[in-house]
Amino acid sequence: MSFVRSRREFVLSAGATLVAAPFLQVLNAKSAKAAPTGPSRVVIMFSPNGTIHRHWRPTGNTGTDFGFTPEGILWPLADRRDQVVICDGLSFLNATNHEAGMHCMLTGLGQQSHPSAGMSVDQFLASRLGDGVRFPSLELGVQTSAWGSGTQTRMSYRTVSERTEPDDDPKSVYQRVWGGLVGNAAEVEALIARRTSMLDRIRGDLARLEAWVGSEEKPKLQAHLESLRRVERGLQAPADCEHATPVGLINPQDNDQFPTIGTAQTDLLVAALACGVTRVATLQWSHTVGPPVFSWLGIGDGHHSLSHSDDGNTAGVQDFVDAERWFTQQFVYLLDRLAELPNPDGDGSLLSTTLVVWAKEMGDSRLHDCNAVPFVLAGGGGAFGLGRYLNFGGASHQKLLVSICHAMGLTDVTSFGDPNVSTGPLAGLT
Amino acid sequence: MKRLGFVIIALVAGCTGSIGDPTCEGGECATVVVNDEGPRDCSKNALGPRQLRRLTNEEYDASVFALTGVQSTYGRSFVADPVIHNFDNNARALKMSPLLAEQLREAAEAVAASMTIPPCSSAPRACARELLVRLGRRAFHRPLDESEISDYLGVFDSGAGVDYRTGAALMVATMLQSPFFLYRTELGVRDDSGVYVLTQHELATQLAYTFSGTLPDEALLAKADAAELDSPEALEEEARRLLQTASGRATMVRFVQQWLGLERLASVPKDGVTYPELTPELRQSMLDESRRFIEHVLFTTSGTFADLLTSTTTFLDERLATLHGAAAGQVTLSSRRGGVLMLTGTLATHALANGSSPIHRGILVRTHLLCTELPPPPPGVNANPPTVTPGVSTRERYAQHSADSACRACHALIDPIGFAFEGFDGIGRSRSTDNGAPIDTAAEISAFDGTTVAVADAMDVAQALAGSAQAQACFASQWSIYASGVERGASECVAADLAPNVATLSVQDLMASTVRSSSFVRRSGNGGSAPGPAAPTEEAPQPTEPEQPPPTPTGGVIATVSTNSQWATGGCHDVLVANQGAAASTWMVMLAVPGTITNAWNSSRDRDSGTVTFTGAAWNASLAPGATASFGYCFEL
Repeated sequence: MSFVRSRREFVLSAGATLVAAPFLQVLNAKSAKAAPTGPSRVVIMFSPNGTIHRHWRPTGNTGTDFGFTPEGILWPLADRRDQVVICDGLSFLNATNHEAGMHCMLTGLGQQSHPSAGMSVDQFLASRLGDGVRFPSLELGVQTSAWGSGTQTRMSYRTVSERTEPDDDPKSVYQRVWGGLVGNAAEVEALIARRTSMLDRIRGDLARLEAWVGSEEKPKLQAHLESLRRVERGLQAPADCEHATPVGLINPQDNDQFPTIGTAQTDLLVAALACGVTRVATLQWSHTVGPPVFSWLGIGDGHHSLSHSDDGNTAGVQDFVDAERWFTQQFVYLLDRLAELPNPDGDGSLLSTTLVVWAKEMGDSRLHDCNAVPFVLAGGGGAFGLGRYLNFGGASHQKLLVSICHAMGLTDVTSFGDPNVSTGPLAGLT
Repeated sequence: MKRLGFVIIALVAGCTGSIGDPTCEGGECATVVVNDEGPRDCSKNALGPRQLRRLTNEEYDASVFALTGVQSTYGRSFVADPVIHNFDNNARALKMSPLLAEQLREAAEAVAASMTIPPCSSAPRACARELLVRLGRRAFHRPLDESEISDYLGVFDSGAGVDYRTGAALMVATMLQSPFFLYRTELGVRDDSGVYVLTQHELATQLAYTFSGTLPDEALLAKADAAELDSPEALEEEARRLLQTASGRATMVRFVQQWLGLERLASVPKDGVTYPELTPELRQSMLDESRRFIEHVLFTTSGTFADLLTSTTTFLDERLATLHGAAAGQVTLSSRRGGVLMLTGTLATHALANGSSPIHRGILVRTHLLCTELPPPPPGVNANPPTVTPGVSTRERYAQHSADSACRACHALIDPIGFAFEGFDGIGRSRSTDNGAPIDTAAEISAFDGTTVAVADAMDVAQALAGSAQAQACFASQWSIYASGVERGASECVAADLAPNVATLSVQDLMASTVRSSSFVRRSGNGGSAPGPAAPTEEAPQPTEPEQPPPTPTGGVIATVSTNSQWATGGCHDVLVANQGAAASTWMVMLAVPGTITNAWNSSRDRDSGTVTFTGAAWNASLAPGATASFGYCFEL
């Protein structure tokens, strides 16, 4: 088990003692003592258009006796077999097809009256864990918005009807988290004061406008007010933290830059966690029915078209599997970046204290159904036993959403999504 | 307050809404024609809701430029606007989100920092007041009242400690984030009959954004100040004037481009191996071609809807000329090629990454030109695009759809239209062979104005559409959805008024005539005081009106069952639920289901056989008045 500390801290300490070996022992002893207390942050990554199970499933048996083949979708996880849980046999029991699957994936199709109130699990966690950080949640996207904002293109919900919009532009993400405030402490304080006076005036205008509108439009103004609250929290000084580098020139819409944008967003997401500005982050690659063309792999057809290749179409299946394997590589890149950076709150790496979930919106893409939707978990600070391949035999994925809440310390959660469909956590996961 | 609408439907017999009829074998496609649900009583309840319309990102950029002189491209990098019924300006969907609010703050500060603010040579507060009154009137589309002026000068004060410019810029940045700038109000003042009549400044604002995509210019504001926007003639005169401005033309071009989905052209993924020619520059050339074509038809020739669909004049720059092997400039490529559907960019947008697509093009015509909503492929159906085999044309590969009973019902409506467009490849070039096989563009299009039409090629499709009452009504519907920002209700009534004139009026005249409709100036709704600066004398707050009309026991919800597909041992049904009542309703449908349900979508159910109660899923359970939801299920006998 490797244990990574901040390089700067390591070099400084080693330089000070001039005795490297004993120091390392101390370090290791410390890590061994640090009992896992569960993750303190969560990352959810999404990639679209279902899967082809026989190319996705590990070889071997469920339990700990499993592996991967180079032809398979999950092959890039072969080196990290012991750091992940492969979850098979989880189904969306009340949704079928692209659009419903996209909505159900993180919400379990909860209604306003349900305990989760229609929120997606990331927003639910943000609402419970988001205090005391600048961003209750950060949503990062890679080309999620060419079709506008809609049920197909969004996975995150603040309420039954309000979607959380991902930021598709790495430059904008950088600016929001690290940009903006320059100067000495007094200047920064004065700037924040000016911005606060600006926000106060906008709130005053909202109140004035509210007196004019009827009940139909009051929710719109309420949503605006709520949004300003988030802006106000973001006004605090930006992260004085070394992990992010400014983003170069990127066209967020250019198909061929899909990988470049994804890498930049992953780096920024991990840096934001390392700088402690948020505890809940999502990374959404494209969207359901998403059409990116994997030109960088020499693939000519769009991802959604390929996802519907039947077994007779061997070239199409091959291209789809290659594209899916590429997404696995991106998941691995995310894990690697999380492993490289230190936990800002204490010992361990970011990865060892972060629950990472890779979610999809459909099971077999050729059938448009949501049975055996693939999930992969990683990290988790000891919340789940890693290095396992589990098959839940058609259990509701809402149980996984409950288990995620439990892992994050919210043990009062008894159901997520529609409780008429499923309640309770996922047996056999912990 | 949501009300539960109950609908009880016993086992239905008959065809659309008809199960078990032998003539249904092979299934019917569960289509819905938007705005064609039989007579709607437009004599009452024809008015749109009192609403707030958030600026679209495009309107934001245009408004910022008009107000500050700063060329803004901030809006186009904001969170994408929701697209409803092809358009990005749906009033209900345009809401604030935390990310957008952050982006608006960044943009407002950047704009204020780069705009020209005249230096102040007298008392700073007097200068600030002058700036505020001048900009505020345009930014908020109305004069500011004294209390607003004093509030905004307070903002100036909190920055003026640094220097005049800092204070002034802070004030401008605040204005750019004010709801009075970001939303246009359609609230009106309540008249004696309980209807709300838009204020003069609201009318000026609605004219400006509808016909020029930006905030009102000085001429409009002056007319509103003088209360001269007081007759249909006066409104139409302004609409016509705005249509002739550069922003008016650009806005109408954008309406047509959005209608056709051309906004996706810049980013629609294409295979660089199949189409190495398709550079970003060539995509831009295609967009330019569409812009010049639309401007030519609408403004240079004052053309009609039919001209928009069939005019053979187009405009090629050097890059497009090379692509088509034609001369650059204003040209006719062929007497069998013309209209918006055969623009290079339209054909390229509605195609696969590495080929043409009869399906994409068929769906474009069905949904955008004929306003027919098509259901998604039923779950459990293999939706594999047919594989490419040398010597086999795209059309032959797609023949499987008409052979497969599960696909046939809907694809019989889609594919033949697309086959007529097979004379154009995936980036809009004319071709006579496809994959080594000859092109066949002859097709029979069914359910076209209720009949079957034989066409030889895409130009025949375009001409049939130009003369089709359904296509004309659809165009009126698209325009009124765009103009009103609502997809049902008022827009349907406006469309019904406009539809008979589509064949005869020029597109410009048709657009301008929209303002004559009483729903342009009137709204229905409840509550709230009069918009505008506070009146000198305090008005008594108006009591909130009771929601009206009272609920009916059924909630006005109806459900229609149609057979999606059927085979010897089972089948699939689609159910369309429509709320025709006046109140929002949470629906529940009880159906006697044949056999046992094996699979259902977009709904929850209490059992699998017998009389099954279906309730909506989270996203479709509650229906606004006029809204519809669809769900479905498959069963085994």
